[in-house]
Amino acid sequence: MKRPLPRLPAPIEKSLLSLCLLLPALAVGILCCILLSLLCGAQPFDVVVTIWNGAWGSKASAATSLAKVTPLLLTGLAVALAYQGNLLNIGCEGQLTLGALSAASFAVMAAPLPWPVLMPLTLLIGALIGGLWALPPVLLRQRGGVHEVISTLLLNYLAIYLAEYLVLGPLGDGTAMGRTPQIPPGAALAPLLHFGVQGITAAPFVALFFCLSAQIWVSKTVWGYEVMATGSNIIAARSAGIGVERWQRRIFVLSGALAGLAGALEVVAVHHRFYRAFSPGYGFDGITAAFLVNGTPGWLWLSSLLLASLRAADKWLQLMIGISPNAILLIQAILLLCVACQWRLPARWRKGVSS
Amino acid sequence: MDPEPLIALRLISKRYGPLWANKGISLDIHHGEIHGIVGENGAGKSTLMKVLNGHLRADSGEYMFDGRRVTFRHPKDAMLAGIGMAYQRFLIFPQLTALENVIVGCEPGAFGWINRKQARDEVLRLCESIGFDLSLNAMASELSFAHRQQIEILRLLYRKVRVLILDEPTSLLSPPETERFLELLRTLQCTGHTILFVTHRLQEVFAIADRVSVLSRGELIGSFPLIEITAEQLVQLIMSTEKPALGFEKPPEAPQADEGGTVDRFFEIGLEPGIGGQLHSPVPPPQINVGELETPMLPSLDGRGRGKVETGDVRHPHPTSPVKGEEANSPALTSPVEGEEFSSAALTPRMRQTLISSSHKGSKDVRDSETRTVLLELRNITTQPDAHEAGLNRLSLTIQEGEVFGLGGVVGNGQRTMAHLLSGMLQADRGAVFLAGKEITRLPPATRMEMGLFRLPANPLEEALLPPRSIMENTLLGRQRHQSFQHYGWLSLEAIEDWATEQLQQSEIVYSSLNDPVSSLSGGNLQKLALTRVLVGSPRIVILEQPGCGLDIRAQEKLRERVHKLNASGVAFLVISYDLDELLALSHRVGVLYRGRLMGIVNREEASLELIGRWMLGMEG
Repeated sequence: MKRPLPRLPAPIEKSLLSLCLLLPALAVGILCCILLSLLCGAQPFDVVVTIWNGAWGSKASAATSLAKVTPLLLTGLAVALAYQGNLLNIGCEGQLTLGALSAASFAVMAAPLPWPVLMPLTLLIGALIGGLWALPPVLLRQRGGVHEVISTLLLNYLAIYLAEYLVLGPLGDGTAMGRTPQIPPGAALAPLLHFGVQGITAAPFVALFFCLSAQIWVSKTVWGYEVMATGSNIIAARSAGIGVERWQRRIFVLSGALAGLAGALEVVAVHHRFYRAFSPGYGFDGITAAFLVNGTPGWLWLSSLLLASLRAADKWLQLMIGISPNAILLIQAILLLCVACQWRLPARWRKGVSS
Repeated sequence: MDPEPLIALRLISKRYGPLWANKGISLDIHHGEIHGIVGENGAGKSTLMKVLNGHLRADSGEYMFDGRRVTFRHPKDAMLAGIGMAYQRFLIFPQLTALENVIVGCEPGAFGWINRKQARDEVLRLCESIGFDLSLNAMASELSFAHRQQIEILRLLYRKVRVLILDEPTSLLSPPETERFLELLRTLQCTGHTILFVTHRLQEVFAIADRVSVLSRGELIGSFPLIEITAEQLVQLIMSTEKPALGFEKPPEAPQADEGGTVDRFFEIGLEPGIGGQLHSPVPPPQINVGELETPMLPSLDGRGRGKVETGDVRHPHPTSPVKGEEANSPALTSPVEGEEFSSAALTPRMRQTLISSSHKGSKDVRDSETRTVLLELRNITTQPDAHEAGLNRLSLTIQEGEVFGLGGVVGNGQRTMAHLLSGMLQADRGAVFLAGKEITRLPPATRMEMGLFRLPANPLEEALLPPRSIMENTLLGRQRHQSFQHYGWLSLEAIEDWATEQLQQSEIVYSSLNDPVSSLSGGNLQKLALTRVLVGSPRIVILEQPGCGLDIRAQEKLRERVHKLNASGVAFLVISYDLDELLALSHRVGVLYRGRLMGIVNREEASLELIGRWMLGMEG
């Protein structure tokens, strides 16, 4: 049973281990798709093929899928980074919503500014508001012992309804549509490639850049090390002289800021305005994306692509096979469940994976 | 003796990978005897006990009980047959009352209803018959260790076991409590029980055991009636077979435990008292009546024990050691308590080691200490108590440069609070702390470490290490901002790797790869790693909580060497330990905490077990 495998460099090995959690889950997911196909009386691989074609079958659909990757990458990163500090940010949905609203409103109000100033400022404002929205939960955790899962979850609803109120009132465009005015062209991100309806903007690449930088930050810098130490054993980190409370605050605000940035990018690159019920659950999908790869920022692109493909293809399931789009949720849940199960596997098994 | 043994083990072997925990052990336990099991850390005592009570199954060998061959698959089987074990870490439900703790798993009644009256009557009757003063309605979390132990014993008696296996039963008890406990064993013997007990304290063996078995490296050296063996011979038997303990370290490739982490438990050799208990179980200081103090502190001896005093000392290689001095000059010798002299005769092996290595220091430093500068000063410190630990109560203390100060006391009397306070993990309500003349009362741990104050926590895995992370990351912890390990915020991984490799080698830590998770190390190696981090660098004062915990005898000796070397160069130490032997062996001065108050401070030469024992129970000396 113990075959000595050639050892890889440690960081690569560690990151491969994260991937090893995803692959078996993916296999089970595909198995479920086959089962689903059979249950619906279709050919075994119909569901898989439909999802693939729906997401990547044409230029237009590929562009749509890629656009959906951006917010998933950023909210996934938000969750993964907070998780490095052993904090759970369930509040990405709210942070994203408020980030989007504030970015859109700011862009509308500051329209006269030249675009090289307006665009970065818009994104920055989105990130700032998202970060601020994440501050109370971590303070409550440190001062009052309120668990951040509860507070961030509840703040989601506060954020969503607050945004709805604002967009129907003071920040709305005066119609009853519940949306802000369109942002000025200077704040909008023009497509790099004119692909399909929407084209492909720089947004997914910006998000990818953030993820890869975060991976390097986490594994190669002193700050990343201190965050990791804080997350691994807060008592040991504190007695080793690390300012754990400060790191918790920083990392959680950073997490909120990334979620806010996701919202701002969504406004700037895709919708060019904010409207009611802005996020179709990107904040919650970010949690899935992060945990599918065990919170490793460097692999987020994989889980985000996977989830975005599923999301982009859900309508097609209905059209082609007549399965409810909610079947996608089922598959997503099964994926997550498989990953979660592996965390509980005996250490021996996981050791076999790693060495 | 009974020709037919009650328990007969024949060639019992238990193996973990390349390591024989038990090797061909054949042992007879006779009906109604008190049988002591002694041996070094990691000699296989615990494994043998677990085989006896069904927690483990031997790989080979025969186990006869009451004339029949038995195979216990589970401790429950053994319990039904009449063999019960009380573990070293008491298994107590803190949220249940004493009564509920006794009857749990064996409640009288039917259809899910517990017949409390019946249970109560039965347990009360048991208590009376053996003279327990346990209040059955008290919450277990509020009970002292002695009372918790009574619960464990009652649990076994309530289930009507005939054989009681006790794993280091006295390790958490104060001297008078120990005395009462030994009395209890005699009572149980009179009521027809057979008792096996594992212990490190040879004086207990001589006080009550009928026979003693010596284990070494998993093998049985022999079983001897106490009448036929002297303390000297016994010590020799234990020590002579000692070998470098490296062979007992968990090899890095050793397979994981198959049976509920028993391998790990086995390798947690030498668990010191209090390490598990203090985390899970709040301990209020023991309740004690003044009257109880009339009883001698140490087991009074019948004829067997005496006469070994000289021999024990003869074996001591350094005739000028402090202990020798104590015997010669100390007023403690004139104490009416017979056991006093005995305590140094039947030295535990570990204590002998300690003395050997500490003797070269001599006692000169202590006398010098008057003239040395004050390094650490606590002024009128008061802190909040928490659930597990007393707060400090207007405590003042000074520690000089180059001094080793030992802090003793029953678990939970404020020792941990003290360590937390000094390391900056806890803020005092009132009072001030000074380090080398500068006030550090409100400074965070990082600043204190820069000023040279380090702490080794009692349980490294919980308080000093990052369990899921690699050995390298764990070695680095606390030094990540050091110039040589980072460059503008980027970690210099190669420099870290070289440095970590060097440190680990110096501390003789056995590991297979720096990138393995730190939790793959054995308990002893974890302690060594935590210790390395503390001692490396330039400490001025080091707080050692339970420093010997989990270390085998060789590592303990090495630790002492390091402590003494640093000490000689002027580094001060505050040693916190629940083990009086360890405390007396390491320290120049010893203080005792009771309910957060410092009962008194005494120089090692003048320290007597009686005095410290009284202090531990809150009696003025």
